[in-house]
Amino acid sequence: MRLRFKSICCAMLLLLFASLTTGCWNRIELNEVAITSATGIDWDGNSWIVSYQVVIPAAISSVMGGSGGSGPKSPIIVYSTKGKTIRDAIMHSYSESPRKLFFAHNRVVVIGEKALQHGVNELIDVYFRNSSTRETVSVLATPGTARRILEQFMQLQAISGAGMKEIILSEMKNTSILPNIPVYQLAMEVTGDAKSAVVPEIFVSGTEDTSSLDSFGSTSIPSKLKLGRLAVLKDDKMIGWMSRKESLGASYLRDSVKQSFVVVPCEDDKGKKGYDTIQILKSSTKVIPKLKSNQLTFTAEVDVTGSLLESTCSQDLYKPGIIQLLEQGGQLQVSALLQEAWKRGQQLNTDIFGAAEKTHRKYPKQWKTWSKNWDQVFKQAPLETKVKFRMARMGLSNKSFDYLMEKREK
Amino acid sequence: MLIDKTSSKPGKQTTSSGQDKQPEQVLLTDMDINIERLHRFLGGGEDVVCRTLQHRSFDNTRYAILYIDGIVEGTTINTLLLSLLDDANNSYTNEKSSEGAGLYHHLTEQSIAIGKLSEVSTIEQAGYSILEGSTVLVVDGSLRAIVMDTTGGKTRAVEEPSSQTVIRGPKSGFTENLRTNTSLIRRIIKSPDIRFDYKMIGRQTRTNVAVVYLEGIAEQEIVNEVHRRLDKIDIDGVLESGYVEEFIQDRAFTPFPLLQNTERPDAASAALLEGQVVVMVSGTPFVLIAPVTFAKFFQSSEDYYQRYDIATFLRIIRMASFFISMLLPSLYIAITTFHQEMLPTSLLISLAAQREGIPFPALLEAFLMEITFEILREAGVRMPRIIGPAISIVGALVLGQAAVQAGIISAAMVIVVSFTAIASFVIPAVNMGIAARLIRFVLMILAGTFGLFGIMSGLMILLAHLCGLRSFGKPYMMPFSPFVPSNLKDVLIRVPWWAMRKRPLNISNDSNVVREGAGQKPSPDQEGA
Repeated sequence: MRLRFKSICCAMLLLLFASLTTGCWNRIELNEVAITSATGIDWDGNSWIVSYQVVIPAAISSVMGGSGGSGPKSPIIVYSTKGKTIRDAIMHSYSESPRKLFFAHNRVVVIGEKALQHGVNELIDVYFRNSSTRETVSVLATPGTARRILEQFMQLQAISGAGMKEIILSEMKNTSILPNIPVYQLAMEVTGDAKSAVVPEIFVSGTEDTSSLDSFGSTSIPSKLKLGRLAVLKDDKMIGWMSRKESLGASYLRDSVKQSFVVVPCEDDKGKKGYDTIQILKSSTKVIPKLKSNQLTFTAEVDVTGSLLESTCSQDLYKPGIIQLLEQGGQLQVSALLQEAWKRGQQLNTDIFGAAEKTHRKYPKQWKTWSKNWDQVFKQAPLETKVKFRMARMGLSNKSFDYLMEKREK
Repeated sequence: MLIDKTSSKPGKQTTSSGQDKQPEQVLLTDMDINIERLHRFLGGGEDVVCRTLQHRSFDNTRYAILYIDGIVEGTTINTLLLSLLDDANNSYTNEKSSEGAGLYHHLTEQSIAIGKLSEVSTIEQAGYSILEGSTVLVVDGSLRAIVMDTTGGKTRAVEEPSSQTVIRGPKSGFTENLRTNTSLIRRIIKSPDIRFDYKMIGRQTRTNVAVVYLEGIAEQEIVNEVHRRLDKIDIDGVLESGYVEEFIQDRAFTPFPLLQNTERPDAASAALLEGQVVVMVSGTPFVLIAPVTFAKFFQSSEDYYQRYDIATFLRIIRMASFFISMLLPSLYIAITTFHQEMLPTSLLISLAAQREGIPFPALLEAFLMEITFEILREAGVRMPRIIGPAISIVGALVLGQAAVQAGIISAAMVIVVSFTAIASFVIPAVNMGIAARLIRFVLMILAGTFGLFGIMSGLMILLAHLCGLRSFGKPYMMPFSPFVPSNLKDVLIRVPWWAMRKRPLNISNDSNVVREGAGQKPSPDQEGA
């Protein structure tokens, strides 16, 4: 009994020592990490330039109202390293930063136009190979250098990296013009049947930079970060931009519209013209491929529910006919958007609408031949649109204000 | 009372005083020698009172009462003396038969104004009775002596229990006096089935211990086991039930309490009604309850006095607090030093901002604060009450606020430690709270070395240990492992009283578990009927 007890004690002691020898091996204290809120990727012709937007926690707390030091301090700092590969560039950061870069809280990765044209495969590889980086990071494209985007301050959000993510998320939720593209989705699209992908654009609107806290001394800042067009990628390389209107059409075709709006022109009895603004509350799209006499066609069935937000026409909305008219207007608008986007896609020779996957699924046998020259097949495939537009609500007042005014005059 | 041959059961008595090896001295006919020997036995202290009397009717036969002043009830002694003196001066003509034996019988039957009498025939028996507060009457010429129960003296009154307070519920608590304590139980449970088995433990202290149970409801096996374990104890003194607890618990090395203690008569009675056995130790208000399960330590007697929904909510809060007090600091350490990616970004940044310039790693920081808190808590318990405010000022202001302002400890850590501390006081059983506190330190080291992986492995070992524990042979984690679904009615939740028709299974006598009538759920239909 005593011997057993002794041997157990010995074993426990040895185990304890064993655990002590390991130390706290991958322990890293909060004040040893440089929390990266945004990463920028640029290509200068033969090497990668990776920029980091690092949060300075002490400065953040003083910005947020804590007891800070003297004067305003920048809550973020931006620096860049250069290397043959992306990871090589990141490794160089160890020789210039006192803290280890920590990518788990990275919110956006901004890719400069040149880097996008060079290709994103390497970036995707970095994201998928390493556990420290997250695949939910949003990808943004920018026409200039990514570093410039990272250097900009933002109103209302001290950390602009987080702010950019918030902008793209709220944009997607409320207007659905640009999609939020996380790294994993980019990877999926690049490797998909169509080998085409999209990345939303962010740019600095205004010529000056807002890279100094002094700008926040006044009520307006010299420049702002804005979401713009949609970058279109083919085989991981960027081949062109889509305008915002085309981008909205693409959103419909990709079935990524959560909430949007259309402005429908209208006309009252007297021929006075105006506009009705309709908020799209619900939308779902089905792109159906059809093979008719050896010609592949696509049908986009869109089901849209809207609510009237604003009306400048003098209309009596109690009349079902008027509502039908509105619905028809909306239908036309949406169809036009779809067609425009489809044409632009064909023009750029990229199938960013997921048409390839759908065709593959529906006609697996024919796909074998089509897949060899899908670009040609896609280019020649016409799009037919079937939009079901339903007005769900007219808002709190059924008659437009103009209509009420007219009645009173009578 | 222990040598009262007429009232207590034979065989259940044990004098676990392995000391008296020498042959017992029997009482002789000569009273003076008897008194002399008794004095020698008792060590002849100043408080040993010997009052000699003579009886007029019995040839002026001498007799004497002996007692120890202070441990006897003063008024009882006075009444006794009055009755004896009154009797001594009376003349009984027809009873002049023989002096010693005659007087002895006369006194027992006609003159002593004391309720409980018994007789002894040796010096030792008489001496021990005196030590317990009885008064011994020796008569010249008699080979026996009368032991009169005059136990009493100054004891603490029944007060509100200080360690287990309730908002709603009885306000009486046990005292140090065993007789008071048994009476408190008797007043609650007036069943003839209640059994009080007495024993004596402690060579020197000769502490009275009572084993209380309800016959037919408690499992006889467990009652026997309690007796067996208590009988094995051989120690010089028992000053508190904690002495007994350590001897009779099932396993020596565990941070978890394997016996419950309470100073509330209502809690003890509830345990008896559920078929548990209560062990009362003279000299302490804390009685032991066995067997217990892990979940019992999270139940307060108030759970049964408040309505069931409130009780359930409070119980869940207590369970949560147990886990908080055990895990929170270690989770904080693990997440901030190993798994920063688990935190929401804004929280991470604000934590990182607080940690700027803190010289210690999170583990050391947590240890410093936890140990500081433990010292403060211990100081709060031990210090004289008058110094109380000083400790709280130094503790709260100097250690809390100043440490943060000086940049030695991060504010988040102070929040974590304070929250942990408060949570640890929510657990109704203090000994379970201390167990959580001890485990907390081990988990903190594991968290500091292996992160969440360490915490998880620590919890696994803990769970295995808990499942292996037994309390008087009953599995400690009972309603969960082994799984007893019907017992779950009163563990994490408490169902209404009318739904708890059966006593917890497996704890009490399983052939007699129904404790209330069926169909007592209140409903409007019942009104008319």
